[in-house]
Amino acid sequence: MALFPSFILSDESKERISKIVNMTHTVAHYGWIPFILYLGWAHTANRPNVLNLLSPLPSV
Amino acid sequence: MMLDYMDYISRAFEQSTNWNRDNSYANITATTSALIDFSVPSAFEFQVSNASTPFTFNTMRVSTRNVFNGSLTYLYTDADNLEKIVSDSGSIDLQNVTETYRYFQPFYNNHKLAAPTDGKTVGKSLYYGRMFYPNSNLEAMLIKTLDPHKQLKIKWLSTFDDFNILTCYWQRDTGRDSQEVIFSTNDLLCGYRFLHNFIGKPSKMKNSLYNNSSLSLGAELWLGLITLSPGCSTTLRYCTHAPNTGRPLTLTLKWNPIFGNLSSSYSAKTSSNTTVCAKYDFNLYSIDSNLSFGVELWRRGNSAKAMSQYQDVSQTFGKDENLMYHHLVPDLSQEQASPQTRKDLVEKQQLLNDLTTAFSSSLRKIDREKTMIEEFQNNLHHANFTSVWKLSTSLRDANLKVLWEGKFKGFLISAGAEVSKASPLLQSSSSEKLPSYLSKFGVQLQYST
Repeated sequence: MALFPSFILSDESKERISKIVNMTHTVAHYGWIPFILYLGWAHTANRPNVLNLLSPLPSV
Repeated sequence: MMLDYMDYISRAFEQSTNWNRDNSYANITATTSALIDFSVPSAFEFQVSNASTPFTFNTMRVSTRNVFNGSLTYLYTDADNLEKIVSDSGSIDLQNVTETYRYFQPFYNNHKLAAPTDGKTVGKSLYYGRMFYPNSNLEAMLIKTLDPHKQLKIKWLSTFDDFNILTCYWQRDTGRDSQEVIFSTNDLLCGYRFLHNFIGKPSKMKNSLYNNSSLSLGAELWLGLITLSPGCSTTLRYCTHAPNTGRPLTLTLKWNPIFGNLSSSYSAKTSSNTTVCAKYDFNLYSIDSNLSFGVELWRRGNSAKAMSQYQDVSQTFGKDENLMYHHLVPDLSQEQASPQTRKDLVEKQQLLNDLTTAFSSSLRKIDREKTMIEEFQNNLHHANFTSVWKLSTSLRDANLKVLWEGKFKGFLISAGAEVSKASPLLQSSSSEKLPSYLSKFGVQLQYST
């Protein structure tokens, strides 16, 4: 295996970086709406039921 | 099509943070597009929305045309007074959820109306997320007000098939000027938009004349850094009121120097229930032209509730009452002065009285004009509209769009159809008469609590 200078990334680190980027994307993609729900939950004084926040149907 | 619940909420956010959406180049021709280029629903769609707390809002949308699809939307904002601005679909004003004629007031009028900015609108934010079904794409948005005149908007469209677009908008609006810097990761697109309002500041000289017209000039510049493809356009807008009726009208002229497209439009509220718009497009390079018309017909419901509110407003000032120049005449009975100064004051008063008499007819005319415009606006603002018919046609495209929007038993319904001619490109022999067909048809139902 040839030795590269440290600033040229090896295939392994490239793969690792792309994996991290992909994972960050997935986390941001699926985490955004739970994050919004958390903000709404944390900002409301009486801490409503999570189901109330989730359901678009009028709560009784 | 009717405004989505979430668009309605984000407009309520703008209202709460005193952000004027009409003072932006992106919305300079909003009236024309609302009256002519409105979209017609193309599927059966149902939306149910709910304000689960005063700060969180959610919507579920299902729509079906051949395939079933839908989306779930959640929104959180920490803006104040939203519970007072947002109302449910039963009590909402139809003119607030329909894209219609946009009033544009001279900017100093807006500033007068706006509450004093005591830092309450600073640092407010809005978080929005929408997940689609079945492809689980995400649409996200974040708005943050940086100070009373600046806001930052970030939009993100995320999919798992290498299609991710992040767009940032930095917007600054001082009333007189509005600027916007845009950057998008799609083609590394950079944009700059500005709008300038040419109106004299209300000064000593101008106070006497009631000026309710405004002239705005705006332009946009775009450059995609990867493909190096440029884009630009410039627009002039003039808004005024008919002097004898107080009804508003808007004229716009848009020019795109790259494609040579020239577009002029005239829109007017011909009565409180009708709006008309005509648009003429002309291309300098291809000598193509197009003439389009759009009409809106509003229907009022039982106006008992609305009228009582409206009368409260209109009773506060009478039509013939002189609203100006009372303050110019000093009150002599309060003065304790020597005979000499008293004589001076009497002369001054005499002079002022003479002046007021001399100009009374023109002053009264200005007052009448102002009262008429305000009365017309109050009348529209408090009107209890129940439905609206929208029609638009374009001569060159030979199409006809019909849209009905209205309130029915607490639901907001929008139903429309578009009839257009088959594309001439598809026809081999051009001599044949092209058949018309129904290209779009759909119904949208909205319910919110």
